[in-house]
Amino acid sequence: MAAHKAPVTTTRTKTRYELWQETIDGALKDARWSEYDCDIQRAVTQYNRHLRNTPGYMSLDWRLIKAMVWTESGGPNNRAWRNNPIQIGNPGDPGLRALLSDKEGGPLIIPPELKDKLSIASALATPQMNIRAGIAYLLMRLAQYSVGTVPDQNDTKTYEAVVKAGDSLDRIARAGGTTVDTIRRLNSGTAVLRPGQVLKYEKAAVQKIIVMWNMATPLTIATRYNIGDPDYARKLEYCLAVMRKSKLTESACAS
Amino acid sequence: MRILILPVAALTIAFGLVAHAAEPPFTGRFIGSGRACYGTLAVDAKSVSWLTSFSQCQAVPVELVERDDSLGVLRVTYRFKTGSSSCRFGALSLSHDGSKGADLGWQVVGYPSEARFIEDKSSGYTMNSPDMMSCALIRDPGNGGKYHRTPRQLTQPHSAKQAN
Repeated sequence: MAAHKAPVTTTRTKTRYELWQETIDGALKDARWSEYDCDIQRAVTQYNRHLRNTPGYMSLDWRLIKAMVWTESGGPNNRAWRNNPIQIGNPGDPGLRALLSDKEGGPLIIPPELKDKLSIASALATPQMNIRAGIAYLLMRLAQYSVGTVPDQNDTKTYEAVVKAGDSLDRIARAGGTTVDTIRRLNSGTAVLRPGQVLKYEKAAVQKIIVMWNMATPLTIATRYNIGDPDYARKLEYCLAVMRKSKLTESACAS
Repeated sequence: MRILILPVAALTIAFGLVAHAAEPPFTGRFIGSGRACYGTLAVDAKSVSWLTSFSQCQAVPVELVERDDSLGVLRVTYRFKTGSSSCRFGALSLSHDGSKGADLGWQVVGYPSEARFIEDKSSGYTMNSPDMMSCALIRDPGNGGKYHRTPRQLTQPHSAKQAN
């Protein structure tokens, strides 16, 4: 006689990622997840306008930032949503200081109208400024930099310098508030300098400049904004997928 | 009048103490997400490890400051007994919003000190300060594989295996 076995029931344990997805699914039935839409759109427009003429810049998609806010804060039921929605500037995080120092390119990223407003204190004071600081930090990390000649936008006149005995291009450039590259560009025959020779120059300085951009994608954001979350890129992808499903709840914003 | 009130007050306090003493220590393991919060929070009977991108609080001995689930929202707050340069916090408060079962709806707030927690509590948990950090959490599903369906049940002690 065959032995009867009791039926075996197995319940699969959900993975961390699946549980996290359930949190994000909350956005499908809660309009609060879209309450920063207009703030994000305004901020992204501000950065896109400021950076559009830099080499290789592709307009940032505001929904990527919204996905970051969802991933970082876990949604409107959490305090981070109100206090630090894009989680920049937490204790020990060097990101905000790097952005606001002049060492890593932050000043090139931040639009002039934000320069006086964006500070460590303000970035942690309101969710809107926190999001702006996070966008700036992300863009700072996506840009590629070099050092090159930047013309003085406030003084576009052409000047002349007369070469004296013992002069070098470097000395003339420093004395005139310009760069060797600028003098070479405006004058032929600068390989050998002769006393009495007249050289044209425009005011310029050697500065850090943006030469190229890494495109903002879930993957590049995961490697350049995120620190250690191995699921960051697919979390952003999932947030974008949920946004597509819940488009009706997106906030309509005045332009 | 005084004769009536005093015994009632004494009984209330006595019951409160007994109930608190009988409650098993809260334990659990949680996962954070994102730039600053990715990492684990492991709460043991006597110590807490909260390891994140910018702060490493490794097996810090803790003292229970407060455990409150009177409003259906569990909140457990600890003071760190020791400090280290890699650990940015002196106290933390773990809470559950009471709405999404045992796995979701958790969050932790790190404070530089217990005093800052008290300030935050006085403000109705609305304070925002640069020396605080708040992170949404999920309960670690790899934590022994067992599921307790409600936060209330989660307050029951886990086996040593589960805590690891």
